[in-house]
Amino acid sequence: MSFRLLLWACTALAASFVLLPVLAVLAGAGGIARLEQEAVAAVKLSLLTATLSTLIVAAVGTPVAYLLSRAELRLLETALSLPMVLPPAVAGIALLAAFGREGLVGRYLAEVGISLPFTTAAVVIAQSFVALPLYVRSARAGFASVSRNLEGVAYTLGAGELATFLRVTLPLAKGGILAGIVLAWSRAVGEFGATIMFAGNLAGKTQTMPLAVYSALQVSMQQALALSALLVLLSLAVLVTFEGVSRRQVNA
Amino acid sequence: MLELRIFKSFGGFELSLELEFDGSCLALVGENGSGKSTTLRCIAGLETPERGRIAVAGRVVFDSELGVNFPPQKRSVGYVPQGLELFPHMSVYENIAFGLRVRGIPRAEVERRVSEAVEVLGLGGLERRRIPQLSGGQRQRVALARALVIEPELLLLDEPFSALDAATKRSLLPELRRLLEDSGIPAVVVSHDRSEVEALRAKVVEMRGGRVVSRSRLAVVEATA
Repeated sequence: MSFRLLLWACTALAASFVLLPVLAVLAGAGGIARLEQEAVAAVKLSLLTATLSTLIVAAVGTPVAYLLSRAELRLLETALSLPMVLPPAVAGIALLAAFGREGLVGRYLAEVGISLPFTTAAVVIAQSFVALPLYVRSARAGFASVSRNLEGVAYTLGAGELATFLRVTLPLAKGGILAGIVLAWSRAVGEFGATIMFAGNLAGKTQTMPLAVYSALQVSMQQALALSALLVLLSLAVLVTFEGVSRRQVNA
Repeated sequence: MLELRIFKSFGGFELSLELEFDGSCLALVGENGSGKSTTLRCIAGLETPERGRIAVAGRVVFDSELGVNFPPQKRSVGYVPQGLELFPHMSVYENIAFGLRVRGIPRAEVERRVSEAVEVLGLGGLERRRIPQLSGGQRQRVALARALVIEPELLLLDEPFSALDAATKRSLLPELRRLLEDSGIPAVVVSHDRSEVEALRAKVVEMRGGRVVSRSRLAVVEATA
């Protein structure tokens, strides 16, 4: 067998391994029209919370990513990446230990009447927690690709640090930032473990799509399949849209 | 009108330099790693010497004893680094206008000054072009226009012709000399090349290992390659 044939054989195997289950899920797409009320609520909640989490992560993560790209802060960088390697269930427990009623911060929040666990806010917190490092890493790589000499010239031309960041650095780092947004949103929309631990599985309140798929499976495979198919289609749409946007940016 | 006394050490290298310059063009020549580019970056305010004093056009922009250290934005120095560092996401016009726009100069005046710079540097018709669509010589002109349009007190050029082919260089050199004379803006040029220094009729300071090893009025530097 020639080497080239081996390459193609492995690629064909990998492609069918990835695509077969996805196609099997999409085969259940016919059931989308017959989704129950509860499932529709989960779809809405997921879109809302994942988008909110992504906005928060991008707003907070962009300055962090820029700082990490310009200063040697290895330890901080590693620490911020921790949620990526934590098992999601552990992340959920960690969030409970911090923001739960008896938690490190949670007990003080409880004193002023704020209780986070098992609320929609907890869903957003769980999603942001796991999505933040993905965004920061991608955006950091985007910023790192912008030459510091370019910023230096902008300074000599009279542009302050903020103006230089907004007019020079940010537009040139757009690729990494957009990729980070896609990664963060996908991770947030798929978040299961941390959400079920920290926010619970309350229909209409904390039951996002992945949790609804899990709950539906207890009752009917058809419902679970239909909901999964919708999740796949939505994620695909986001991926394609952002790919298109970032390609247009590069070619502009 | 440049007064320079700087000391800076990094990675086992010591830059120790003292010079005064009152002409129209000063050339810093010397081998790679002799401290020429670092000297320019110190003048521009992109690097900070450990000790010393820098005065541009009679204005002190750095003085370690007085605790003066102006940021690059306040030094009124035009800087063209070796890689030019044109903004790749902007058009030729936007590149040249950048320094005027960030100063909040009214649009009509920005347009007037940019078109003047475009004319002086022979960039007419290229205003809407993106940087990757330009030739090496055109990029060099855009970088010069961008640095000159803010009317700096001093122009710093780091190996301005190193990326150009011989023919482009031959045609640009006399043009640059005329440009410097006409604008009346003094320039410090880092160079490797003797013919460049001659064509610019520059006063020459030769550096080696972070120090000045010779100064001359004549543009003849036998020791440099």
